[in-house]
Amino acid sequence: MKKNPLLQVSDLSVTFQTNGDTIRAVTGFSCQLDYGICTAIIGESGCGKSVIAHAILRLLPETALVTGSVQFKGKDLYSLSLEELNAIRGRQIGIIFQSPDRALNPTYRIYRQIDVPLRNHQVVPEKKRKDHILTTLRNVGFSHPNEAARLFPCHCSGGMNQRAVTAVVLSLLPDLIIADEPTKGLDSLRVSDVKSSLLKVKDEGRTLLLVTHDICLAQDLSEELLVMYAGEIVESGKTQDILQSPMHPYTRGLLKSLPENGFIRIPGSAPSYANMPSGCRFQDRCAYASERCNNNLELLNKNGRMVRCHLFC
Amino acid sequence: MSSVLLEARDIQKTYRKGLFETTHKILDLCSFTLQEGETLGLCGPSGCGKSTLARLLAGLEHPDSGQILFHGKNIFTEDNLTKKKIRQKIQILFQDPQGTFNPVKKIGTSFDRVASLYNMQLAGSDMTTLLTTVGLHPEILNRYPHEISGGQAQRLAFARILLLKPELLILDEPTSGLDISVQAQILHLLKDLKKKEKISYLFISHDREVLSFMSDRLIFLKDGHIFQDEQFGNK
Repeated sequence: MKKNPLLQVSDLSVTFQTNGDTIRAVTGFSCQLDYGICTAIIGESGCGKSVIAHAILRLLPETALVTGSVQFKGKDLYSLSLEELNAIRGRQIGIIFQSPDRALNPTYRIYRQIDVPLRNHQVVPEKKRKDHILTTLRNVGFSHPNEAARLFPCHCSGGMNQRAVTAVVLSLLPDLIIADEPTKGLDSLRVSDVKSSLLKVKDEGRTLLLVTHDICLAQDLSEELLVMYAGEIVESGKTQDILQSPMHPYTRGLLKSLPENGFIRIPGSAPSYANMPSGCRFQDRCAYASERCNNNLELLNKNGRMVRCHLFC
Repeated sequence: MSSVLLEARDIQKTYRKGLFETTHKILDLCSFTLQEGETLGLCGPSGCGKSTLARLLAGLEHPDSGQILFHGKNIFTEDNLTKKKIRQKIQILFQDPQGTFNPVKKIGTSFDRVASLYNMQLAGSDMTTLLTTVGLHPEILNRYPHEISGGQAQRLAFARILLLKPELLILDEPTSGLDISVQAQILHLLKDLKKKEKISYLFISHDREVLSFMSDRLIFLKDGHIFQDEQFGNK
């Protein structure tokens, strides 16, 4: 019998009302995260990747209008009370935030940043708590965890704070970890530290939703890949399949921007989110655009790969 | 022949960890020069003091000892008027640009604030051109900082800097929060602007490929010391 997915997001749309404008940040996003699988979301800056990460945990501001459903272990997160939700936040679903400087309490040492949520959720017995904290710090690349634990966030570089935030989340041993740009601002050595700690998390059978612009990281960690453009999924499928033979023109352009391909840029810029064009949102920048691109199109299933492009109709 | 735009001489900087704890010398007798029109790459491991050096060069922090000279003038000992002019000419793009916008004010007001600091008049058409240059729509000026993505914030911060027509731009991990397609756009934009506006860059990054693409010369920061990469460009 097939196990139910850990997380099922269905037709999630997020709009923001600002000064009379309606910003459609995410439109009709659906995905399913199975136990022990890593799914990565990649796409242009501002395409809605982080909004999805926040929407899953109901962390968006009140100005956001969220429709659709988010089911975690069969429970609809949007119908839970705040108390029930707080029991899930951190302990069952952890999120590694993108801006570590603002995710950490500036008045707490790194040790206390990890210790407080551990106490609140009672993850490990008191006697083992210190060892658990130091081991977690070592796992995310602090070679001298005792020293690191004594630092305040203002003593740390951006990269060190990023690793501290990762340690806070990993220490709680959540079933699902949402990692929003976990390697942002880290040097290659630290990237490999964070990568190995996330690989360890996967080996322990926990599920990972990776939001990143680092395609190498997505390639090394994820089995499933979702490519987003202007608030919607344009292509999804097995990571290796998409990276080896991208179908959607945006995915092709994205891969051509890689350093090994000489940083070739995609011409033009993303459409205005307050005034989204009808039909394909990439058409103004697409070399294959034609009149039919003005028509709306659902994701098409092409041999197990989902793609939103008239080229494959 | 190009002349020296910026020179750092024997810079030292020490941080104290806690009230009674040990001191940590983050920069130890760092010296280097940056020529006019040059892009100097700076790399080093996480936490080695790259951002500290960037803040010192921009005049945001004082070194314990040593001098920082811009066009031969010490940026810390000149009179206030000269210091203000130098500050306009040396701009810095931070690692976390979202933190540089006032969270309770719209994005547009931060542009007005910068313009008013230097008695500049901002025309709507200038703003449109500036924002189009960095690939953004002018409507974004009506949003609040929490309503924009990290990548959009980086491009807005960049546009705000261009407003001041700097001679030297210190870029502290400018593309670390951007996806690769926007990164490619920004890198090409920086190259185009360097040719057009004759801006010099100190480009700080972890990414060797980005540094190879952008830099004319490369220096390393390790254990508080600066090292030249003599092999850079010959590979």
